[in-house]
Amino acid sequence: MKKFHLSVLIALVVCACGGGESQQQSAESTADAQAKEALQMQYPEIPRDEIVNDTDSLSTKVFRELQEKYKANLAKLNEAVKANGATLLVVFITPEVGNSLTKINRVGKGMIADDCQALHIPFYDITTKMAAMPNPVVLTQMPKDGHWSKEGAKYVADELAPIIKQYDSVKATATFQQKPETWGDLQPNADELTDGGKGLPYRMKSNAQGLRMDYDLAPTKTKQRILFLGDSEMYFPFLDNPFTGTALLQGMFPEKEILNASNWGYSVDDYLSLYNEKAKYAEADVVIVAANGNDILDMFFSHRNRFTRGKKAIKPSILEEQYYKTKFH
Amino acid sequence: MPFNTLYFLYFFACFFPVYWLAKKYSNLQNGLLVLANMVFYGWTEPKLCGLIVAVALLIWLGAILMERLPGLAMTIYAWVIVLLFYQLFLCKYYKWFFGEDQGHPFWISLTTTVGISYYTLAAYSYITDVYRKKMLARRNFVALLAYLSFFPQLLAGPIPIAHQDFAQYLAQRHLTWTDIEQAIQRILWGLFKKAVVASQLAIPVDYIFYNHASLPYTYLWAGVLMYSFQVYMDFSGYSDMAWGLARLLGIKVNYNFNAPFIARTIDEFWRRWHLSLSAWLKEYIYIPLGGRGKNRWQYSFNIMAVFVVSGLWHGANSNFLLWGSANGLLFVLSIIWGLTRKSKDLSYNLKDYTGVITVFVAISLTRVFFRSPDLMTALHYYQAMVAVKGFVLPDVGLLGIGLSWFVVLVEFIQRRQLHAIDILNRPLYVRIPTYLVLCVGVYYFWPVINSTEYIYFKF
Repeated sequence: MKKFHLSVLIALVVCACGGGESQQQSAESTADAQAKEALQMQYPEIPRDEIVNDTDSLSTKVFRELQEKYKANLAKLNEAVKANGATLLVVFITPEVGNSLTKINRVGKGMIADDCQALHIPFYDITTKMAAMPNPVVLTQMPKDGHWSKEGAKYVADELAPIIKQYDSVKATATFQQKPETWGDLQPNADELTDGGKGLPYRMKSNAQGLRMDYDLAPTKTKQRILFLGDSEMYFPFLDNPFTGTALLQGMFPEKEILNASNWGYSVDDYLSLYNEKAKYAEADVVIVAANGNDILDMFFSHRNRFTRGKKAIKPSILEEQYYKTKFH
Repeated sequence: MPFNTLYFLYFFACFFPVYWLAKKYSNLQNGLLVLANMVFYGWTEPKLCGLIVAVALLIWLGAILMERLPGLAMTIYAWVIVLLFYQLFLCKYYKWFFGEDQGHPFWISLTTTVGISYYTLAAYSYITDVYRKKMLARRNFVALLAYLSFFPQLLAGPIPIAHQDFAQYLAQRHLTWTDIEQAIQRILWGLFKKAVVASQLAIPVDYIFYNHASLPYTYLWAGVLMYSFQVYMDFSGYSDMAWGLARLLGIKVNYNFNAPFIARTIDEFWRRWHLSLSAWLKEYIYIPLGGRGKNRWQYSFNIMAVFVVSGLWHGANSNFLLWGSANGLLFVLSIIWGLTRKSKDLSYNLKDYTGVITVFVAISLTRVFFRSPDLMTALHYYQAMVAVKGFVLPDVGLLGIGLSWFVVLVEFIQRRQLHAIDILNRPLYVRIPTYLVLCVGVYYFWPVINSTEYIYFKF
């Protein structure tokens, strides 16, 4: 009987401690959300393309700062991937071509390529062949939307396949005994029909690990794993799962597992935090970052606060605040 | 201003008490009604009000002149009809006839597709009934404008028949507790069908029709059947709300639907579907053509003519023409094969259930023309439907299908009543919980994105 009372007492104490901890976490999370909301109210999102389009010294300085932030995050991601014995690649990928090519993607490509060179990260540009196509617009959902069409996704897969092939023998060294339930940020086992407000209805499915894939992954790796980290370009909105570039790659490489952890609005800081918090537990051998010029401008604080997966508010740097007040107040 | 919005709720809540304060003065009530109609209609585009006033002026003057100058009645009538249909032609058919790239006349910018097909038919009904001496020309312009622009039925019907419905706008209106309860029944049921059931079906239907080229044939069949349910839930939901709102204003508008998906034959289906349009077509097309005529061939020809006109009324393209013709053909075949039945017969046997399914599938199949953006897409869809390869059970839209079956089942059980939700003869302890369940159902299933688009607004 005493033992029974003792166990009840212990259970109560554990519950109280656990409850206290979760209450504290919940309070912190609410406080973070409130702080982020307050900052968003104070600094609503502004058009970030002006930063690269304007040529005055303030814009130039801000752009340089964003570029440095991008590079710093990329360097950290590279370190994190290397620490697991995996290989990081950067692939420049955007459906913008010809007249639709924005300035940030024109100049951004060279900048990201330079960053990769400085950080010794293999860099691949898969947009060159597309630029030579007579009618590259068929690769997009234009005029309704600029993301990849089915043809575009096929183009992406065809261009990525030979790159992936080069890393057949790469194997990560790290293994994890304790793993979180999800390795991506999507709602696990989601099956949603949506048109994203563009009149382009599609079916989005995620697997049990919260990745945009049609099958669940075994906790223990038995095949080489290729992990994609990217924004909406790599998430392939407006396409059913079987038509996404990563699903097509999976069809081309049945001996590998192609993991898609991409999500809308993400940039390199999100890839870093997602990798450290969840995605590294997939024990991917090759990690491919799908990059484009927007990723640099995405580092601007007002954009980050709207799209980042992080819960904490991102305060403006001195330069960013100066820029914001000069241009938009 | 769609009914299922907060704006409309505020609008109606403000208008309703003011309208009934003027109960003793029908002219004042009509004036208030016209004002409300203009706010409702001009909510998004104020210029639309100018057009409807112009149409009302045209038929008002035309009708008076026809009475004053009986020798010229036919000429005046012809001119009014030409002018009336000219604006409908500009708005709906001009581009179809002359192509998108042709320069457009100035008047085209003043026309609109919103509600025009409905009030043009209402206007035609008035001027034709005066011409045929089924009613007198009315001097009361405000009453005529109130009739023509009556907001509950302005955007998607029910279409009025002037000699039957106009008198209500001249008489004193009444509202009893029974009227209120009946109105609330219809509004709740309509809201459930539109905001809940049709919304549940809209996304899977859009998904299947948009991606038909890459989906298995079973999905395409499911898409067609779901679309049939969606059109019905959307349109009949709106019509029920319109009926209830009109009732709250002391006006009885026509019924538009009577449980069409429990029909056992094609002719029975059309006696239950879009009744106000059918009544209009019967009154102004079918009967003038000779109705059943002297033999089966004339009967069939007249039926085909009505369905072709109905198709063209829905829209100016080959798809609607083919949709109308396909339905006409189904009707004619059912006449030839003797597959018709009397309207009062409401008993069902096993054979009848087969009939219900056959009619539903046959009618649904014609809707590929109705739903597809162009002829080629429709033909590709049909082609993909018959490309049988294996069997994959469709796994989208299940909730929508389940809710649709629920609605049809209620309609079947209630088939001897005036309306599926007509439970006035039941005791209060049955009615109150039913209304509460309906309210909870609407609240529980209310969609994340409340669609304020109605399929029949575009006609």
